[in-house]
Amino acid sequence: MRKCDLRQSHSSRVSGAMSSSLPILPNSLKENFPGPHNPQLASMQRQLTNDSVPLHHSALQSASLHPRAGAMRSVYSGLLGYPANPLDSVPNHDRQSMVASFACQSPDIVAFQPLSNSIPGGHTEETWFPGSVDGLSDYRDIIPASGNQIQNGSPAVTSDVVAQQNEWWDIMNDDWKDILDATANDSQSKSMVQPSNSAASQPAVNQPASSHGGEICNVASPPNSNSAAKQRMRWTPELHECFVDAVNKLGGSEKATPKGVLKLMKVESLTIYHVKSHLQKYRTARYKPELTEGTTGERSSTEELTLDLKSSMDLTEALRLQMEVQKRLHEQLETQRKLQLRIEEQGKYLQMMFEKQSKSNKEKVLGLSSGGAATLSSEPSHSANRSRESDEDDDLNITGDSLGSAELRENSMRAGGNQGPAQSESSDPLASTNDGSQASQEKRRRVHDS
Amino acid sequence: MKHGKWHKRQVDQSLPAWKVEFLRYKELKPIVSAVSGRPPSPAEFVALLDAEIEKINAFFIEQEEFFIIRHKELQVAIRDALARKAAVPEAAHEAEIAAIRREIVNFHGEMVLLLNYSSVNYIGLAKILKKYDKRTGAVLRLAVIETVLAQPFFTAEAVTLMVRECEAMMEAVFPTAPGEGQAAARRDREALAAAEQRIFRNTVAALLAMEDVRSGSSTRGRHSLPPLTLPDSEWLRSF
Repeated sequence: MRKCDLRQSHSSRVSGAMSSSLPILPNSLKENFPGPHNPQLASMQRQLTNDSVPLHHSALQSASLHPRAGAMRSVYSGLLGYPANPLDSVPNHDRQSMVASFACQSPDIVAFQPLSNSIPGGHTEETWFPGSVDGLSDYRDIIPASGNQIQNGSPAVTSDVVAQQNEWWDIMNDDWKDILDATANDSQSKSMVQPSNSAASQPAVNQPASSHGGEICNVASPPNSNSAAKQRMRWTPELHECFVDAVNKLGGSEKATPKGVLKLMKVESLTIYHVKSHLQKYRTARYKPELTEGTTGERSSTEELTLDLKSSMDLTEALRLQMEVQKRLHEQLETQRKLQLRIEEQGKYLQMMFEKQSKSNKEKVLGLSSGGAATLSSEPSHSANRSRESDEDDDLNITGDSLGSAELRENSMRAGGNQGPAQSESSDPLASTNDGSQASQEKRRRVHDS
Repeated sequence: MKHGKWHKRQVDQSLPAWKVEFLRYKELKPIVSAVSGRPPSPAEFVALLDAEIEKINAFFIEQEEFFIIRHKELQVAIRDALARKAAVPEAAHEAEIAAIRREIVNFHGEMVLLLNYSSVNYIGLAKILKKYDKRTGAVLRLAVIETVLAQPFFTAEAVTLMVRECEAMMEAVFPTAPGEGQAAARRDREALAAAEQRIFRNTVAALLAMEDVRSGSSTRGRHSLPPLTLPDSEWLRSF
């Protein structure tokens, strides 16, 4: 499926997407963390809060500089800046335990830890001092250096930090693996999905590729909550096949025991609890159809029916009609979903391009450009100009400019690959959505399915 | 409050058991948009959304699990019925096939309604995040919506695949020639379950509602979906 491919080929972007999930978690923590009061940094901080992404990137950059468990904390608290306003800093003792539970998550579940339990009442005026986080020593140096620029009122992008964005994109994948490996050893979680692969592998999990397609989303609870670690198991068709095979080998759904099935299936990280609940559902599903078939006789005696539509045509036709309407809805939902994904991707891309642009502008202005930075600015500035045009165009028109930037993004960011199909696909959904014709939707669907 | 009305309508028209499982848009919106009092801090707000998303995920995953089981059972039933065709009296076979047809269409419909459930919740979350950013000047939307896109309830490829497989199953059990067996048809007509009609009506309602929510809006921007005009909306409205 195209969506699966998209994620896999954009692994660095996926990591970006994944990493931007992290701020959600720290946000719920930040109110625990009172900050020291450094006036200069505080005022700089206030201006920084208006520009979320720089902090995000800079913190992650320090993660790449410190590939160890400590870096996890620094990234973690570094990301506190991200989308939030105001920011709080992190006292060490709380951070440790929070990070441990955070580390257990597969990244996309990270956001949904009920850490809100640990939030005290609203602290709206506290500032966040990044320097209080250990492992962020580099970052601390960088912040004061660019602090002056920021206080001069220029769009707050810490230039040195952002200068290494591209590096960060590349390093991110590997470092995340290391970092999360390091912290995973500390955690009690049963399964740890590697972040650089997780977002990519998640859609893959549901494809008929792997036999052990089940995925355990481990939602470990924070220290403060009373509930035990909750395991959310997501069944897949492949895993269910495996289950059915095991059950059949054991003599059927009535005879098979959860323990026996679990043993036969030999799937790691599958617990007897999962099997038990699934077996229960399975038994219900098998038993009910037998009941309904037995009542065919009853049905023919039903007199009055409130089926205005269906009484006027025979059953098969009515079913066909129902199916048609359902298919229609499905297609619309699919189109809509693809569009939603694309819209957000582009939003992220535009944001990044915008920063690169302002960064390169700043470098020119301040005469800081080295050889590397100069080459960096030449490429993104072109794309950024195009994205500026689409920014200004507020009416929804995903066709023209934004798609142009999408093309550019695909060119500049992807190593190689399927530029052609991607471009033709990107223009089609919108055209066909706008006119809603079935034929073009069918065609588009075939293209997407290829 | 326009989206609130739309959201409520979607919920009201959904399968009864599902109504409580939707995003609580109506409750969340005043928290964000309250003119007096302070809006929640990002942390509080995200925590609220987290709880909702957790609930939505849990419901979705459980439904998905039921669907996976049912899907497999349907495949087995078709295979068995077709294999038994020669060995059983025609009436019995016809009855089996009729039941299977009904099941395919209803199953397909329920899955599509689950996908619609996902969509309604996604849209609600997107809207409320937009409102939050607008109210507080934060830049929460982009980050949070990215995580939402990765959530189980939104990454519904397995369900989509099953939907398509259902459509393929039709070939195996539906007659190519219309008007087969008039007497049997009349009998079967009387036997249509109310469930079918409900699913059907929900589907029609969902389609029309989609057209509705995707009609022009005053706040359309870069992140909005294009307007949707269904070619058959008149026909749909006649149901």
